[in-house]
Amino acid sequence: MAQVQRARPHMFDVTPEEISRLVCCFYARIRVDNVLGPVFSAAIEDWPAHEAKILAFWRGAILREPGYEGNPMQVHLSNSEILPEHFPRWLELFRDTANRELKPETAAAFANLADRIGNGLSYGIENFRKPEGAPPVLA
Amino acid sequence: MAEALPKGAVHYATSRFTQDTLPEKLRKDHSTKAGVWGQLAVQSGRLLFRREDKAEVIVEAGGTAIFAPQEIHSVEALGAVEFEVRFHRQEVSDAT
Repeated sequence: MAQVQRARPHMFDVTPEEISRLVCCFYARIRVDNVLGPVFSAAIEDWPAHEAKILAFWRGAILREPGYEGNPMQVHLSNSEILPEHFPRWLELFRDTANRELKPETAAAFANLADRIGNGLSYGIENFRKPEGAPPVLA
Repeated sequence: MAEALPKGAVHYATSRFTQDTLPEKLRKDHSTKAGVWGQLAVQSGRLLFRREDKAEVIVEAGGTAIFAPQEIHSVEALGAVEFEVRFHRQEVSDAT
């Protein structure tokens, strides 16, 4: 019954340089954001290292390049300062930065991917942290 | 760790998959029967999780997601992935 599912070569057309530009511009805005800035500042000591890691994450997710071996869910869960309500702001800022820095079709594809990942992380945090016996988060 | 399932749900089976062993059935719309909840748990890589009338989500390594009894859903491997589906049965207290 098992069938081989071929991995797609990449999720959408974007260059490593475009990803790098987006990451750089996005975190520049994160650092001065009233809501997210303090959360990130408390968690990240080495911004160049963080941006390099995030760049590898996106290159892995979109371009299927090796390099990122982290566990995003665990990282977000282990930081109790990260709340589900932070994700909409993060995603809004990301989409806006993508629209500023990338071609419209690339920006849309990138932001849509971020939405799906962000929502997955947000639901995961809600489910892991919810009181025992409370209804599960389904959407 | 709080379990993201209804109180009283009892785990009774787990199925493990990779991008190479993911059956066609799971990649197409399907659902569990009444009373059966599922929990996706991704060990490595990432999995696209689709549910009827809900936004798609990507479950990253270390993450989980829940589907409710009879909820139409499907999954897609986004590159190399290892994940499991943990099935839970909701105990019915008012059964005859």
